[in-house]
Amino acid sequence: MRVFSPDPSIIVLGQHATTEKINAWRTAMGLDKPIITQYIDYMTAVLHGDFGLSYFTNTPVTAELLARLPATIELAVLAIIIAATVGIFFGVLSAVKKNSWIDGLTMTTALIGVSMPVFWLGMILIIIFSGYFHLVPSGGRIDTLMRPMGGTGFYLWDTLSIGDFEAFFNALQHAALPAITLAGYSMAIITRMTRSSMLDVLHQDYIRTARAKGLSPVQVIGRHAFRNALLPIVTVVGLQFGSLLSGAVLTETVFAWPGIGAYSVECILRSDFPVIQAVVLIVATVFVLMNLIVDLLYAALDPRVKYATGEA
Amino acid sequence: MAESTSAKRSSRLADMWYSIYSNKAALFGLGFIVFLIITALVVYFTQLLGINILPYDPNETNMDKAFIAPCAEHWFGTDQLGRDIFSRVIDGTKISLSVGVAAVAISLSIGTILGSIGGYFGGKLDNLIMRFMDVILSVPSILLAIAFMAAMGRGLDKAVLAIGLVSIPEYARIARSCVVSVKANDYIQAAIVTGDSSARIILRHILPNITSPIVVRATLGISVAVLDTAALGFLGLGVQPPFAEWGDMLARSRSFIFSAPYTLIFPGLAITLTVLAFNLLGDGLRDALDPRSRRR
Repeated sequence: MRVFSPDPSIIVLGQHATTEKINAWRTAMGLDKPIITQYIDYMTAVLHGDFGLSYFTNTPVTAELLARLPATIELAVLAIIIAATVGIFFGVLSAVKKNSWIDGLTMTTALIGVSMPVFWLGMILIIIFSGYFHLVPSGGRIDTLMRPMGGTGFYLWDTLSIGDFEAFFNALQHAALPAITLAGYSMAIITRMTRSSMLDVLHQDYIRTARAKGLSPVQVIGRHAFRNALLPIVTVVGLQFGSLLSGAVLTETVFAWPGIGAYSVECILRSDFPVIQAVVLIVATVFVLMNLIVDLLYAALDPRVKYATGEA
Repeated sequence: MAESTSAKRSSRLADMWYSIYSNKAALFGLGFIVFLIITALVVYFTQLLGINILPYDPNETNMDKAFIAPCAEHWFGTDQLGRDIFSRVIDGTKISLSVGVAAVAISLSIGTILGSIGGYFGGKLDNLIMRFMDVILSVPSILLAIAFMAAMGRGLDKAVLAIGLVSIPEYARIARSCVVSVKANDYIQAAIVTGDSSARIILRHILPNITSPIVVRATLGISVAVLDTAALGFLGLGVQPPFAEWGDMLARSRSFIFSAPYTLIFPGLAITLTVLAFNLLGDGLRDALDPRSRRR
C-alpha cells in the first residue's frame, strides 16, 4: 500500500502545510526512515499486537479495532449460522427433489442470490421490513438505553448472560436484517454446493444398496448420503466464513453497524492507512485460519484423511 | 493435419453453440448480454458524435424536477438533483460493462501468462509465481481492491486496475493446471524435439488448447467485476460525479431510501440482471464444455 500510495503527510496535513510541519509529522510517524526499515518496524510492532497510531485520531489502531471487532464477529457468526442452516437444507431438498419445481425454484433463487449486490439486498430489506412493515430497526446494534455496560462486547451474549431478555431481543431485532443480508450470498453458494455434492453421492452404488435393503428415505439421506457429501460442504462453509468478514464492509455501511467493516470504510475515505493495513491483515489472517480449520476438520469428518505425523 | 484440427475446432464450436442454444437460461443470458453491448456501444458512439438518443441528458440537473416518481414522462422517476433515472441507468451500462471487460482483460492476460510460464517451466519459477498468487488469494478480493483504491486514489481507471489485479491469481491457477496437463501430451514433446522455442510452444501449441476453461472463468469473472465495480462505486471509490454508475447511484439514493425508494430500485435491478446474465451464460458455457456437469 505504501508503494502505491501518495505521501500521507499531504493527505493528513493538507497541501498548504509548511515543510517544517510536514517534516515534524513524518519524523513523529517514522515515515522519514527507508521503506524497508519502516516495514521491519511495522511487522515487529504487529507481532507485539501494535498496529500503530491512526493518522487522524492519533489513537492506537489496536484499541480502535478491538472495540469494534465483537460487533463484526457477532454479525458474521449469525450470518454463517443462517447461511449454513438454510443453504444446506435447501441444497439437500433440491438434490433429493431433482428436476422438480422445488429444485427449479431453489436454484433460480440461489442464482439470483449470487447475482445481487449485497448492499442493494440490504436496502431492499430495509424498505420492506423497516419502512413498510415496521418489524425491525433499519440500523444500529441495540437501543441506546438497553446497551449492556462492560461485558465482552458481544451484545447477544452479554444480554443473555445477565438474563436481560428484553435487551437480548432488542439486539436480535437489530441484528436480523444485517445478518440476513450478509448471509444472502453465502447462502446461495452453500445451496449450490450442497446440491451438487449431494447429487454426486446419490448416484453412488452404496446409496442404491442402502435403498435396496429397505432403509427409510430419511435414513438413506441423513445417514448415508449427507455424511458423505459433507466434505465439500464444510469446505465451502469455512471459506464463506472468511469471506463474510470482507462482505461485512458493505453490509455494515448499509446498516450503520458499528463494526470494523464500517470503520474501515470511514478510514479508506480519509486515507487512514494504518487502520486499512490492520484491517486487511486481520481479515487475511482470519481467512487463512479458516482454511486451516477446514483442513483439520477433514480428518475429523473422513477417517480416510490422515495427516502426516512425521513417521515414514 | 491442419485441416483436421480446424475441423475439430469448428465441430467443437458447433457442439458448444448447440449446447447453449438448447439451454434456455444460457440463451437468455447471451441475448441480454448482446442487448447490453449494443446499448453501451450505441450510447457511447452517439455521445461521441454529440447526439443524445436517451430521453434526457443523464447528467443534466434540474432541481424543479427532483424526486418525480416513475411516470410516463420519466419511466424510472428522477433523482434528488432532478436527473432522469432511466437515462442514467442506460448511460451507466457503458461504464459497468467497460469496467467489467477491461478488468477481466487485465487479469486474464497477466494471469494466463504467469500461470502458463509457471506450469510450463515448473521448478523454482513455478513455486515463486504460485506462492505469490497464494498470498494475493489469502485476502478477499473486494477488500484487496478497496485497499488498492485507498492507496492509488479514486477514479474509474484505478477501479479497473484494482479489480483486474486482484483477480489475476484465479486465472493463473486455472492456466497453470491446464498447462501442466497439456504439457504431458505427445505433440508438445514432439514440438520440443523439433526445436521449437518455449515461447512458440506456449503460444502456438499450449494456449489454444487451454482456452475453454479460461473463457468460462472470464465470463463468470465479468459478473464478479461488475459487482465489484458497483461495490467500489457504492463506497465512493469508483467513478466520480456527475457520471452515471450504478453503484454510485445506489450510494446517493441511500439517504432517500424511505421517501423515494424508486431511486435505488432500478440501478440495483440493472446490476442484478447484468450479473445474472453473465452467470447464466458462464454456467451454460461450463455445461457445454464439461459434459459431466451437463448431466446434473
